[in-house]
Amino acid sequence: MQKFSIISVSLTLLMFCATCFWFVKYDIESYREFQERKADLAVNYAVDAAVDALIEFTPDLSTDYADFERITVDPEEALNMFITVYMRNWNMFDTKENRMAIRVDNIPCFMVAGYDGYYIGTPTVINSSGARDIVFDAKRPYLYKQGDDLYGLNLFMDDARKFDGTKISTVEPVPISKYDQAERISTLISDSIMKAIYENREGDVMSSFYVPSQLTALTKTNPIQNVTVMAYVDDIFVGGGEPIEVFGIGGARTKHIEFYGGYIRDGYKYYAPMKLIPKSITVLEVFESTVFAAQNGYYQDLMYWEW
Amino acid sequence: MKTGVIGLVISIIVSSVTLFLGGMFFIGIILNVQSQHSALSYTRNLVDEVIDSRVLTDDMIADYNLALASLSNDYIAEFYREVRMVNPDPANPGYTYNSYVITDETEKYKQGDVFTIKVNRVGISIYEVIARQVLGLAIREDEIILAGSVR
Repeated sequence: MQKFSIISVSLTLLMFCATCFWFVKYDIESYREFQERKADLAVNYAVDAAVDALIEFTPDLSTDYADFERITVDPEEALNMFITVYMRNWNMFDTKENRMAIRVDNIPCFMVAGYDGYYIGTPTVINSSGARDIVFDAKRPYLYKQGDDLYGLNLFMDDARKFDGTKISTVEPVPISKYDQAERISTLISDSIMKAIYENREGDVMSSFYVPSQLTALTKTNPIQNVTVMAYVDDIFVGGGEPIEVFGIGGARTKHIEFYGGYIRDGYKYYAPMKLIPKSITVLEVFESTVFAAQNGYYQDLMYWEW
Repeated sequence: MKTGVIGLVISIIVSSVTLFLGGMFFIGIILNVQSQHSALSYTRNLVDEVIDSRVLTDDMIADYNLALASLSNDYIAEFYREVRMVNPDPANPGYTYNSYVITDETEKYKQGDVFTIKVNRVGISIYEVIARQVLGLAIREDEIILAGSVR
């Protein structure tokens, strides 16, 4: 009887301790899992916003109606919008200090893929005091080497720029298939991103990723087929354990725009959508976007604005 | 004999406490986690709908509130619309900067506006309080915030 009671007490105490331990572990892991899911959504919404801003706010897309797929992009606009939406998802105040903190601490790699090249932004030392900020390097072309010839591919894969050592010319069609072009572009971008992450984390990388060259349901990731923004965010501390990391990718397509008119009202320069400006006001200039109007010194006119 | 009985009594008490704790944990904490995930999914669906359609109608809000009401936790949701303002940068002529203004007009949206939903849990069940107190776990304020830019 005594032996049985000793055994039963030991077992029940052991069971109680194991149960408490499992409950605490479950609580911590479930909280972390929930925060990871929130972070994933936050980065995805931020990347989508970055892509929209890329198309809308780049001052000169260098395109026309006949050929509007060939657009240039400003990666800094994409990054600013990414941080704006990302901060709101984490209920952070939109201050200069918070923005710098996210740029330097949480974004080891931000990639913007344009029509004929891509930009990689990584935290870089910008002055002698050791201050860092995300700096985008020069646009890197989608290079493909065949023999002694270098080809600069593009996302629409109908033609390419060829450099044979003496001159640059346009070739159409491209010597390699569209499938191989897509594969080459995806490989270039994936390798560049992994290199940036590896250097930022000083080799502390336990896994890698690869952007597929075709639409696939296996990895649930779209390939790079148009203007694309990719963001890798890490060092998100959610309490307990390693900080989490999230990767987001978003693409865009072009559309036609609304025009804005600049005028003077009550001695001040304002701009508003052309369709809302009364006929009594003389429009001095017409702009294709709010950015152009603001660059020329016109302020947003809330009196003639659609809310 | 006496110690044997005492040992058995202790075993029964500890087993009962373990079973009681397990029940409190399941009802209080595990159901709370399930509700949080469901609330996050409903919130995500609403944000996606608003940023795609550029409207937030009363029907959409009613459906969303009904979905939240079906969960075991009580939630309160707040909707915010921030209108994007683009103005010249006085420090750098030729450059611009974006600012955002919160407005009460949350029915219609324009491209570039930021739509934000903040969902907070109201109250906490007694089961969760008991489970957390016994296990020494802190009571968390699991606020759900999702913000998207209107497409």
